[in-house]
Amino acid sequence: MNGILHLDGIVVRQGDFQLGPVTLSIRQGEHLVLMGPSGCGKTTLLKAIAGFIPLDAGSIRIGDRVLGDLPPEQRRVGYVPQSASLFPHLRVRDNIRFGLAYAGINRDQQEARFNRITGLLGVEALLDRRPATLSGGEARRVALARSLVTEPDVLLLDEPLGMLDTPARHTLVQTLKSIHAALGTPTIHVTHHLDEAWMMGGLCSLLREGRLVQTGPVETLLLNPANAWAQAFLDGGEPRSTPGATA
Amino acid sequence: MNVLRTFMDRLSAWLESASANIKLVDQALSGMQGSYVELLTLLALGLLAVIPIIVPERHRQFYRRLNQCFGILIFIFVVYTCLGVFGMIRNFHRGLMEIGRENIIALYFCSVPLTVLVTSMIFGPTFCGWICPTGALQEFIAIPLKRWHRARRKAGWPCTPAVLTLTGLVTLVFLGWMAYLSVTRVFFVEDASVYWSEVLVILLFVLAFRMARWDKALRRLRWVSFAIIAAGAVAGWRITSPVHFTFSKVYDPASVLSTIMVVLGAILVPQIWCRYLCPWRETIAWAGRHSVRRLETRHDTCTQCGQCDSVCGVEAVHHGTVDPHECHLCLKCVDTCPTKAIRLVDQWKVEP
Amino acid sequence: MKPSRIIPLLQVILLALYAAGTVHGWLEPLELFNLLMMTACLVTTARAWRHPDESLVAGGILVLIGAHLFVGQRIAPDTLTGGAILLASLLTLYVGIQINRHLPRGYWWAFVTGYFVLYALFILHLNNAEPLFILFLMAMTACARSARLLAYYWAAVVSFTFLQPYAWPAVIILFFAISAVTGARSSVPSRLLPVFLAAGLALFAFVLLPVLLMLTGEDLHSLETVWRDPRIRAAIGRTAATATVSTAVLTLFGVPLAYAISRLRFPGRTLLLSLADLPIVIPQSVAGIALLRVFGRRQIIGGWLADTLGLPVDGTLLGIGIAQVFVAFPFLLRSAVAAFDTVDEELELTARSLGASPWNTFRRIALPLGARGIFLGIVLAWARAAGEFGAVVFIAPTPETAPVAAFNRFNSAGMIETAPLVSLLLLFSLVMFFLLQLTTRLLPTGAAQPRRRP
Ligand code: SF4
Ligand code: SF4
Repeated sequence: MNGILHLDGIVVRQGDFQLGPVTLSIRQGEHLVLMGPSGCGKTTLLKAIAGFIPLDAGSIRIGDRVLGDLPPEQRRVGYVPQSASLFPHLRVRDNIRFGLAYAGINRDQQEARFNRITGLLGVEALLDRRPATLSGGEARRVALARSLVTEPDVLLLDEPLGMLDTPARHTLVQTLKSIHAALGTPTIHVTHHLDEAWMMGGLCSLLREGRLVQTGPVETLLLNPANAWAQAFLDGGEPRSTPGATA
Repeated sequence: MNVLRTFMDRLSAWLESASANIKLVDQALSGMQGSYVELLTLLALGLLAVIPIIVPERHRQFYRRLNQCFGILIFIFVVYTCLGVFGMIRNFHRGLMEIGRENIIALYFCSVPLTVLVTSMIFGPTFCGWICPTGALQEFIAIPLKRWHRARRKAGWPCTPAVLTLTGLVTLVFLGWMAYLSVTRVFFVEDASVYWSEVLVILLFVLAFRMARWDKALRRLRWVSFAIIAAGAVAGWRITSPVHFTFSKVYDPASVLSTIMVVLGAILVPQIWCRYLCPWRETIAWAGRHSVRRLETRHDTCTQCGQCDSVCGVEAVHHGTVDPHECHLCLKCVDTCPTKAIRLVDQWKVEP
Repeated sequence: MKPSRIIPLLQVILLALYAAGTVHGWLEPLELFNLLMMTACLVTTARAWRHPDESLVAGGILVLIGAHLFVGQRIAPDTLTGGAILLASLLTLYVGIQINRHLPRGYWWAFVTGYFVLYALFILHLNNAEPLFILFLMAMTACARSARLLAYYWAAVVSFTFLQPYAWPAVIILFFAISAVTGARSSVPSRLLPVFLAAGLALFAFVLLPVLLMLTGEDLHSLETVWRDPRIRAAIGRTAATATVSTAVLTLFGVPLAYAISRLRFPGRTLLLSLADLPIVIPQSVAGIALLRVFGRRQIIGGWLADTLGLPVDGTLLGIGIAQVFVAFPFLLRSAVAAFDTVDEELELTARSLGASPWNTFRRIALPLGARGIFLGIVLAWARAAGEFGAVVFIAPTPETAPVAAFNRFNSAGMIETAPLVSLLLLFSLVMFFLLQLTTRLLPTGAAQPRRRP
């Protein structure tokens, strides 16, 4: 298995904003919830890993592969954007199949993968629908399936539970847990809700203005916040960019 | 083959002679020399349209039949304008274009359609239910078949083998006749229109098997029909109307054929032409929407007995609610309703 | 005497006059219909007498009877006319009474005024139009219940009486304007907007009038004759062919360029985008001469093309094509750039991370999602290319394209002769237009689609 993601002091500059240096590594089977107030650079970090934004410094490795300047399609990184971003002109079936054509496997293998992943995510009933007719939760599932059929080495989820109502969130959390258990793909899950981290369990990182504040199991974070800001953030569970402005 | 051909020749010769003198009078009625015959039309139409309002309720349907017979009589035997539903649209266009140039001709062509429209706009679409000869012919032919039609409607217009055979036969005979006509006769431009109306009717025969399901959608064909006729009027094509031959003195096989098809169609499906093809129906329905009189259902007294549904020839009532766009205002439903839940009401106030 | 009694009294006097006139032969001899008419008058008078609160009705009736008296004298004196007038009058009375009873006063005044206007129009203004007066009077009774219908009615009356040869186009335009103005709804209550709309439509009407006129003016026969003319056919075929080829070339280069412009940020991007509009701003004749300056046989490039490559430009199909490409270019580029701009970049990024190469992303995501806009651009470019006259006529007066043919025919044969050809060309353009509307509705867009909430 080469499913170990190493971020080594990566820096991304966008205008005045600087992300990093961030150093982080996630092993096979680990699920990292990356938390922080809005505007702290979570999404930028994901896009940098996925290869949409070039690095200004540092390096990214997956196992022994150095991603460096590889274009996104060669990174084997699954990226599920915030709004699911299903291709509106394709049916659900074709959305999920989209990446299979580029996976370099034959038809039977494609079929097998397709069936396995759709089964795992429980989207069989949706296959002939149009994306516009799906509910938010359904769309997220399809987006997950679309990403997972390519068997990425790393999975990047941007706010996978955002803008869903509570029941949909709960079912989706269950789905995320079960696929994580089944596939073990190392995952970075970006959110600004503390309860998501709590529901997902596992590792958790706090990001503030482009820098990692603290990383560790959720329980540790909650019991021993690294500083006053982390304390405030975790207490409020709400995104706040200015430290000390507690309720 | 030869026998058949002789027979057909005979038949068409007979038809020709029979329809040649169908008009009772060659000139306008003598007492009316020098006056505009069209004014009579206007008068007659107006009176016929007013009658539905003033007849007593007790024997209303009887008076209606009388009115229809009178309509057929007047328009077929006396008046020289084509009251065929196509003719009205075509003539209307022509008449309108003559205003200011040849006012008498304008009157000649406008009077009938305008009178019909005006009376429909005030008194409701009574033209369809009380006057129109085409509609009346279809209704009369179906009178003896009332029971059969009711049973079939209850069963959702099933297509039994008998119906299928009948339709197949009719279509075959008709196609044969068409073939015969096209080899023996030099078709005029206007005759070519027979293909148009006939193809539509055949189409309907076929589609009628899916009637229960396609009824709503098929009714939109009237728009197509209207659009074609209106475009034709503007572009100067002559498309003859079914029943046209009864209004003119020329023997017109195209129109005879159309008439026969319409009548046969009405045997299979009541008011088939009115339901699915009549272009004039669209105009009348539009005018009727602005009319003062409408049918209203009091739902508290309606017992959902379904008698009105079964009596309506155009299936315009559903569970006691009348669809004004389809209704011919024949008032059969009003007269049959045992609890008098459907009423004819006047509504002069314009809804904002 | 109460004032409410005066009008019915006057009416009785008038009736007596009427009867006396009939007896004495000032009016037509006693006729059945005249008698009927008088009876009707009597009945309504009696009614008005018993319900003095309806004296306004009585006044109206009085006015109508007076008018009928006047009309009846002018109209050819015969039974049928009398009868028809009676019918129309009864209808008018009936509707007048009902309007007075049920509707606001304004409707009633509109009704009565309308009566006199119609009278002036048909009896006094148009000669020999008395029967039409009856017809239009009846039509007015039908429309009198609703202000909107009345507006349509008067629009029709004005069109068919005064604007005669242009009646249909006028009716279509007026009806459209009326339905637009009366049906206009806005979220902010405003009296200004409908006025703006009406004013704009008035101008628009002038633009639309020639088109509608050409369309409704020709019958099928003259169109067919034109269509039979081999020269015309050749011109139309040539136009379609050259326009298609030019558009194809344009599409081949223009669509990728548009994608690049939409996705890349580079110095001079804005300049490029504005320069692309140049062919729209340049007068067409100027464009034609400028093209000739480059591609003419005596010029360097044109001469080289003609002599070395054997591809002369002026007076050939190639020249037509070049002129067409020149004028049609902005239409394609503009729409295509706009189309690609609507395609969400996030979708493309997602596609990339799923393993699709840039080319595949373009082919499977950007192109289908921009299809509607691109198609629109292609059709607009085609139409522009096919319709181009100014630039083409300079660089290639022969072989004739359809617009050039129309021009030449007009110069040699005049307006009447050209009309059918113009109608034909117009018809083609309209067919294109409707096809365009239809197909663009069927294609997907990249714009965010409404998502049902869970
Ligand atoms: S629908 Fe047409 S054919 Fe039928 S009654 Fe009305 S006008 Fe006559
Ligand atoms: S709804 Fe009533 S009035 Fe109208 S057509 Fe049917 S039966 Fe006649």
